[in-house]
Amino acid sequence: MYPFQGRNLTLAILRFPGFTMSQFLKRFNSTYIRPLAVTGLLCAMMFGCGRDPEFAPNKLRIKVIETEIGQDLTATELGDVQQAVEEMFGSAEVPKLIEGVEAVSLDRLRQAAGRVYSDEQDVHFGLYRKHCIRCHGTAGDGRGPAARLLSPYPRDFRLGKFKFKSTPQGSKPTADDLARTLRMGIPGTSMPSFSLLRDSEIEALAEYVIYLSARGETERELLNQVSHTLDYSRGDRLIDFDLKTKKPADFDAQFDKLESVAKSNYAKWQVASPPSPKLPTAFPVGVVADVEDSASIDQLQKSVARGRQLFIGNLASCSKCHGEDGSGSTAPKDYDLWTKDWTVAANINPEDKAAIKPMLKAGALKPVPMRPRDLREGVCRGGGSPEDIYLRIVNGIEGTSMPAAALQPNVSEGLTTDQVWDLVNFVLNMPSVASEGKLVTANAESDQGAPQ
Amino acid sequence: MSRYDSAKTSVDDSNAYSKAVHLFAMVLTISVFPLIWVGGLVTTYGAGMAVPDWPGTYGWNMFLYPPSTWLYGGFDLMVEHGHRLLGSLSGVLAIGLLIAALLFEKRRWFKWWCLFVLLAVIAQGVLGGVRVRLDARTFAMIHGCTGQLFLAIATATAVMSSRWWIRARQALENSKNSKTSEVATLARTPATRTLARAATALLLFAYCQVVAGAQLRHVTGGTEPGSFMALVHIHLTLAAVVLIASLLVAALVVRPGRLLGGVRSPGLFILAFVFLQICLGLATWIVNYAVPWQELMPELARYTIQAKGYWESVIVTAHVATGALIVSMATVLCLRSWRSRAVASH
Ligand code: HEC
Ligand code: HEC
Repeated sequence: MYPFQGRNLTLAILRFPGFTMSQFLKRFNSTYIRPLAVTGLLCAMMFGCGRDPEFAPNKLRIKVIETEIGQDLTATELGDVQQAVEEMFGSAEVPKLIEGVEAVSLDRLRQAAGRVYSDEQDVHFGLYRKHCIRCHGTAGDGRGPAARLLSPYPRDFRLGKFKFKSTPQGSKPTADDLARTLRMGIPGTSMPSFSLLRDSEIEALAEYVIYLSARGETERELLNQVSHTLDYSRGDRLIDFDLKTKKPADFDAQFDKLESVAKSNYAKWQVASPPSPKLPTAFPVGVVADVEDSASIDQLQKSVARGRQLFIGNLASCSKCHGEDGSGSTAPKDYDLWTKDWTVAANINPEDKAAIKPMLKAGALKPVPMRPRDLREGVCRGGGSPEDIYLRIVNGIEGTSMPAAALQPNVSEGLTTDQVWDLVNFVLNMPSVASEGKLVTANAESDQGAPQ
Repeated sequence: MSRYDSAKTSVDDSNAYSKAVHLFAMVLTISVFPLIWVGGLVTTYGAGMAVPDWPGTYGWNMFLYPPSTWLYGGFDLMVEHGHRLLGSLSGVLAIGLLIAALLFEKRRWFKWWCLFVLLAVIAQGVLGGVRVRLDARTFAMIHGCTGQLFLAIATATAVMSSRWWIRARQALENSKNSKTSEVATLARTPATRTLARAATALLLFAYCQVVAGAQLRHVTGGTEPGSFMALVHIHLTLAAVVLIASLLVAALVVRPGRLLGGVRSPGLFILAFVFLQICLGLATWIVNYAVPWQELMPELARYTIQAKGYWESVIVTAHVATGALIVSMATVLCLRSWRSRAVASH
């Protein structure tokens, strides 16, 4: 009675458990359960008791560098970098903080790092593992277990680039920006809102993101140093840990240099919050349907109409990517910074399957083209308030092709701030997917809800 | 030695029914269900290490731990300690079951079975303790899987101590004497065997599905994205397999005049639970990882996951609990269909 001989699968399935009830009972009455338990325990040991692993080296970056320089990095080179990074940042279990860093505090890092537990006073520890690791990964590499199945992929913090912030391109987000992202989540993506956590927990997590990011950037820089500036074959060393006991003074000198790299990566995070954008005086900003008095509605609709002209015009040329209807279908195919970092930047075509294969093996996630937002959905991931959208237009979205708009007076042909607000009004009043084609223009008043 | 002594003659235990034993078995089974809920909540909230020691609670004897701190301290502490207390309740009930069995049960093998049930509760508690003492997620996962297995064991106890089980033979005899003597022949037909086998397959698949689900719930930072994806695919495939098996089972049980009765409602309940479970599964994915196909569902693009939200936690935990219900119902169906067959062909 062999299950799979010439039978279809269903039959095979039905035949498989072909033992009788009394056999079943007998087996349970015997010592059937013991071997089962032993097997379970063995399995548990094989899985390493389910412990979370330590920070792994940035294998992808190493692979990119090796491809660039055409040779493998030696074990000494890699070992020096790993040891130096660990000396400065500690481990996933026990974080360390070098002296003189103000962007983060060790107490908060300790609360966010390490194993998950809470105490009798209901203080929670291991926050990062508890809340973030399944997407963002242990080292914040954006390669948590679930990463492959998500779109967009979870952020890789190690590049130190973030999308949604009040600061211009190239600057880090403020700590408040990070906390805000955590509280609000990112709608339309798998990044959850953590608004139910306590303020102290949000702060600890935000600082841990800063820590992982500084750690990642430092690791990248040190890898660059060993591969490009230092010549190990001529006896150069990034740092020699043997000197620690033999020649402490030399060691300290070497280590200070590395520490200054880490320190400057932390220091980038000390950004002042820019003043929040000022609303225009000439006309209101908002959603037409929300406005009550007819004079304001009229002004608002005129602004929306101007915004539409700008949107499709050459000055702002938003429609180049977002399409005239805001659907985003006209955008040229492009990849985000986190993909370009190991493809285009390393002279690899993200569509060349053979070329990316070794990179995927080293931990890269399959390149997925970035899409401009479908503005008809009426969802802005960085927040839906007029000020948020203003900031997105003025600063662009770092890491994506969404550019920072050219503004007057810096660029003489650029947009005025009022024009940016016109664009904001247009984006806010973009016809939804549901009401396809009904554009809000000054002379289409009847399409809009009249004031009650 | 009486003729009740071996499992083989168990078909002949027509006067072995004991109300006390069955009552304990039923209450035990029912007590395990909330236990699985609360255990599920422990995982959903990541509260497994809200109490650092075991078997004590913050140095207290577990049963003496002051309720004021337990109930008005943190939520995680409440859930974890509550889970332990509920677990000990099941332990007490299992002791009661064993005592009742020693006093009133006539089938000797069943007394042994009740001892096994008690040992299984203890083992389950110890596994939970190991999970805490070693702070190891893998043991949390195993503890979750064996918890569901224990529900199946408790359910089996309830079924095997029931009047239905014990009087099955009598019922068959009666029906033979009455006009509906076709029951006896029916129970011997290949269709009956098909049902028994289908129910067993369903039980096994449903349990494998529980194990796959537990793996997904207990991921650690060490799980490779590729393994996680494979697990998701396995979980989806098994969902389809369980659905097909439950459709088949449902089709088999609704045919008129089947067996001795007692299979129809479990069969239909399973199908209903499987449908519910598939919906809960999709919802679980969405509240954990968001809508996978935003392009196709622009209305859902607005959705932001609320981490540790109330409804989110209810959905995820209900997915676990419904899995347990399916396993439990499949156990009922499986045992009853085999019993019918055994009785008929005896
Ligand atoms: C279910 C998966 C998931 C979990 C859990 C998760 N994230 Fe995210 N996160 C994402 C995704 C996906 C993105 C990328 C969104 C995008 O690119 O628009 C992201 C982006 C981010 C960003 C970058 C925002 C920006 O402006 O670029 C930060 C910071 C962040 N997450 C922090 C966290 C922290 C801290 C936690 C834990 C408290 C966490 N995330 C938990 C999926 C997740
Ligand atoms: C070169 C292509 C490009 C151009 C030009 C462009 N965008 Fe974008 N835009 C994008 C991409 C890509 C995104 C999605 C970024 C992401 O992944 O988060 C985006 C996102 C947005 C968002 C969503 C922000 C959020 O919080 O979700 C708004 C609003 C927006 N663009 C408005 C504009 C406006 C207004 C203009 C014209 C001034 C413009 N875009 C020009 C590519 C472009």
